[in-house]
Amino acid sequence: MRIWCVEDDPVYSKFIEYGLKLNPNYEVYMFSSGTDMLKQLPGSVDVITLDYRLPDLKCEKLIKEIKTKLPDLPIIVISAQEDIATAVELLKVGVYDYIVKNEETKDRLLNTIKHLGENIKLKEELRSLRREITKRYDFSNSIKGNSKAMQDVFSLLEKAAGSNITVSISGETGTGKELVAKAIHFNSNRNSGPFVAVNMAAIPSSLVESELFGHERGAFTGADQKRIGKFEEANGGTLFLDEIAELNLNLQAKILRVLQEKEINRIGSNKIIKVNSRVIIATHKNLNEEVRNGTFREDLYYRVLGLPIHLPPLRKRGSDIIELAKYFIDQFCEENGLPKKGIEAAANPKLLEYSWMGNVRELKAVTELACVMSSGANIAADDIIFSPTSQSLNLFEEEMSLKEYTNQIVKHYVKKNNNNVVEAAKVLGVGKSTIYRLIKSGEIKMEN
Amino acid sequence: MKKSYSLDGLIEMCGDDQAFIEEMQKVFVENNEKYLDAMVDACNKQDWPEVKSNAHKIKPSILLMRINSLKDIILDLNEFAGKEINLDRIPSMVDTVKEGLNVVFKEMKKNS
Repeated sequence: MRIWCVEDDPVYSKFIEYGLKLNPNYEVYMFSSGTDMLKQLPGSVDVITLDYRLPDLKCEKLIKEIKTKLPDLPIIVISAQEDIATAVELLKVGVYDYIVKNEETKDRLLNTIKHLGENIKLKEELRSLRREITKRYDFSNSIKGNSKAMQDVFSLLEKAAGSNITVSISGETGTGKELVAKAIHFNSNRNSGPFVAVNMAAIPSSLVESELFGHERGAFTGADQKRIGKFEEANGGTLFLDEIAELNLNLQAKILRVLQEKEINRIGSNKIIKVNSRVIIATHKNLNEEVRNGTFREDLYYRVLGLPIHLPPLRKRGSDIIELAKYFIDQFCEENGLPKKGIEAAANPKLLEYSWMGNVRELKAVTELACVMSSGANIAADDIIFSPTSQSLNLFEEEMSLKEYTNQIVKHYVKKNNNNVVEAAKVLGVGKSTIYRLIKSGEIKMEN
Repeated sequence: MKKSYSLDGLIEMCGDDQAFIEEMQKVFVENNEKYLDAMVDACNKQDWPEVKSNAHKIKPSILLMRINSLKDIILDLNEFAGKEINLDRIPSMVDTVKEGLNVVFKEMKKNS
């Protein structure tokens, strides 16, 4: 820790210098005048101590000069002046501490500098963690994919991060909506503020209002202490409202008011609290349809729509599936101290042709299981095991022709019966030749 | 004979570092002789702001060297001269500080 001390009294100067230098972690530089010290600014310094009465400059002027060059630098004033009003005035202009020259000066100074050192260390750790998080949520680090669908998403993410517009993220469950929201936050100019995520579907409806807006003590039965809500918690940062379509119409009206007025009232209080949080919403439902059905307010729909980002389902991301699988395999092996593993070429079609109803979340689980099951250097097709529930076919996820529906159903049952056409035909109540014909014509592609 | 000052505060900090203790006494004498002369001179001229200024400079050193006999008087002197009150008492107070400090200077010079 680098400490600069400005002290014109030689007795005190020697005393302070000696006391501070007893700590080998302190680099102490003494100045006998404010002018000498100012010449060295902005130098490499963590804290400055100033004698209140210096022969060349008034302390207040000196503080102003320092604050102009290094606004966040802590300043400690050491003074023979015991006047409380002076101390208060100095603390008001941002002085970190005011220490009176008496028998306790040394102990108080060392104590203050020790606390400052701890604060500086904590702040540095916080900065380093922020840098780490920002790096982790850098778009190219956190979101993988080279498919056209994802390139379009990346381009929207850049736009979202570059402004404060409300963002609405849609996509099936498991497509990474929260990850995208975090990436937008940590790449935006709000990244030093908090990222607060609330999943509306996970909170009982009776508690949502208190969760979002907070409450005063005694506002309702069980409110035994004051609590701030998520809007306040996210002040200066980003509030991610996941599954917003789950909110009832009454709460939707309250959210609309907050978004328009940028102010909230805690439950049980009339006091207006200004909030400055960017809102990102997400839903797996089609909000437009919810508006048509009357379950989502139209005015709120237009307020939250902002920049819409649709995350494509994994099955439509082509080779991204392999890229993501490799990424998850590498991550799992590293986290579990396993040797690096690849994917056998024969296993790729199995990954590519699967429906991935649970999307990226499911792919992560499947690849992690494959890492555990695999005994070789590469993951084989047999190591890839899909969970039974995932094999159910969601036919109505997208619109298709009758012929396409038929092909999907036949393909699903053939696959489910381990490519045994006879068994699949039995289940479907058709002749096996019907299925062979579909395979021969190329309408159904069989997995190896 | 009991000393008119105490180095306990310094010893508590520096332990047995005799060189530092001697250096501190030397610097104390050099500077405070200067401030004391200036304060006496200002008092003779009834220049109260200057009396205040020098009393203010002497005060921390008196506290640091635990010169308890002069502690209260230097605090009062600093206040009276600063506020320009009880002016009739200031000359005798300055004399008391002068006498007390001269004893301290003598003892320190002998010890360093």
